Amino acid sequence: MIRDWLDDARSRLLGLRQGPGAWGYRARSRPAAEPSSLAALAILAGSSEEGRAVAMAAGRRLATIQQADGSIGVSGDLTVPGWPTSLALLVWSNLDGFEAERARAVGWLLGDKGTSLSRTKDDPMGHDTSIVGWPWVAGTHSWVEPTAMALLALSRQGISDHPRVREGVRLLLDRAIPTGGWNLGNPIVFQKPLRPLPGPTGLALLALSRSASRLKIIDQGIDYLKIALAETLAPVSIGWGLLGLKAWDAWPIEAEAWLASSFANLSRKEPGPMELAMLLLAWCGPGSLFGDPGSGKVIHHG
Amino acid sequence: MVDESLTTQNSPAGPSRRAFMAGAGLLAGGTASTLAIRRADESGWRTDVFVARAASYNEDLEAIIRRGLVELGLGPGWARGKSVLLKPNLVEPSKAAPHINTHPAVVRAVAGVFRGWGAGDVFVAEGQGHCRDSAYVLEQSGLGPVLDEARLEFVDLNHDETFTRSNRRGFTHLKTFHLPTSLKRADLVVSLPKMKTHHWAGVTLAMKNLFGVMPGVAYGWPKNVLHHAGIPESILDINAVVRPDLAIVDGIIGMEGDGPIMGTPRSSGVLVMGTNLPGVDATATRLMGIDPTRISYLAGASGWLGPIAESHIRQRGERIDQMISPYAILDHPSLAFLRG
Repeated sequence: MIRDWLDDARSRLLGLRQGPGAWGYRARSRPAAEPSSLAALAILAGSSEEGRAVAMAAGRRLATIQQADGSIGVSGDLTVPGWPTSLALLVWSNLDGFEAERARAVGWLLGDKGTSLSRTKDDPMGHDTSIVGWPWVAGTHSWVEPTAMALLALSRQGISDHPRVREGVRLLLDRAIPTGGWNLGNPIVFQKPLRPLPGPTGLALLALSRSASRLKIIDQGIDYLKIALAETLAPVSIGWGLLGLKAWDAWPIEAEAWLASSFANLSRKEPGPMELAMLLLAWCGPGSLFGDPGSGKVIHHG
Repeated sequence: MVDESLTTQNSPAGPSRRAFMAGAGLLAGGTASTLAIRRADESGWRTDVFVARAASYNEDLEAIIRRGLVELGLGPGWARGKSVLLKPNLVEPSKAAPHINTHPAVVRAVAGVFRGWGAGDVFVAEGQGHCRDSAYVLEQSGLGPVLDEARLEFVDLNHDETFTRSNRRGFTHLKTFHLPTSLKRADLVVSLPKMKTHHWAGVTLAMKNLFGVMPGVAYGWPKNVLHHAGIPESILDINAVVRPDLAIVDGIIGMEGDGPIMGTPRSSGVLVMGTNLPGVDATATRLMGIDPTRISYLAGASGWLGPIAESHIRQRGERIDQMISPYAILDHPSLAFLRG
């Protein structure tokens, strides 16, 4: 039964290609770096020879849109912002070759910094605005998701003791919501804890599993996710959420049923590449695709 | 409808960028400068705004909205054969706080009006600011099942393909805007905001709702590029480029206090509608018990994108003075400018 949805999902994902190794955000939209990267990782996770060839094609295609500065834009048409660079780097890191592309991407990532803001009297922001992580767009503040993606990509490259990585980990820990979980990166505003979201929580947990020890914050995030994922069928949220749980050996016994239900619900509409890729990735687990767990523990307090 | 031209019907010359910036800068210290801008620039503007009473989401909202739009001179001849983009406000999903987002019943009712008038293609589109996962937002907000039942397509503007428009007379430093291609599909763009206070902008209504048109892949989550460029200034620039055709504000249950996501529900029992967004937003702001001239983007829009003075807005439907329901404002020094 479970095997049925996996094969179906993989087959549908392969069928949504817009050319060799290229996927768009929607079924028939033009190729973009993020869905192409996540789809390639999902296909790679299946560990077949065919999958490796498909992922290799994705790696080559991503290389064609790499900018001279090493960044990868949203698509061939939208060359900035460069936040998808982390995802392309993850793909290349899981394939043979692409050394030059990887080196340039790492160089760009290490130079890409969110803006820090000085705190003011009566500052409404509850997080430490001086910590530098990664922004979505150059010249703006650091946020949870691009920081987590950058940490994963750098960790997979074996870069886990760099000052940027250490500060990025510190940022994720600082942005945890006191009541549990993460959202886009605003834990407290005007003295009120904001609401967590499953996607950013899963992504943050996954990134921290590569770099941080098991703190109370981690357990709170896990507890939040176990409740939130039981109440949703949304594939991308379930995907990142389960990846985060699996990274901390907190895979719920209901997880397989959640994935099957999410896919069944998705199949009633027109599944997109991102949704299919995230369900497949969640099923396979992070494994070594996102770097080895605990490969670079840099935070040991708490 | 997206239009690079800034020529506006019944639009005398607006304030210069410098005038607005000066006004915005002085806003923190008082409202005199913004009042001066408004008085100086909007005397040639007139618009109609309809205020409808709707005590709950169980009322026949389609009939109420249809009646209001007819009062505004709109009807089948305006909508027939058109492609209509409905833009609700879905900033963040929370089953526990439905007053964050435009109520699904309002979206369905507006779609029903346009379909009844023979619109060719009615679809719902949003690029929510806090959560990347549209499926999660639709599910948790309750809008997804309603759209499925009504067979209304949803377009995720955050991940849409994009095109570029210049910001030739912009208030911000942004030279161009990346816009979702689904805007080109629409003959009519309808802003469907929630009536809410906003802890940065003062209020969030039809004009601020257009932040959700901007694709997250280009502007981030939140749309932090627009925050850095200046929230009021970005609101003005986006409205000038996107040029929405209609606004219907969901004020049946709004949000007061720490809006736009952490405030408390406030029952106002109104729907506010009109084709000129500054006029609609100014009226809704008055209904919230707030002086629209204290909202810097409304002051900046005055005379450039529309009128905000009561004397320049032909009020239809319910009388404002009988419908005012003062909204609590967050007690923080940064919002002192909103208080009288």
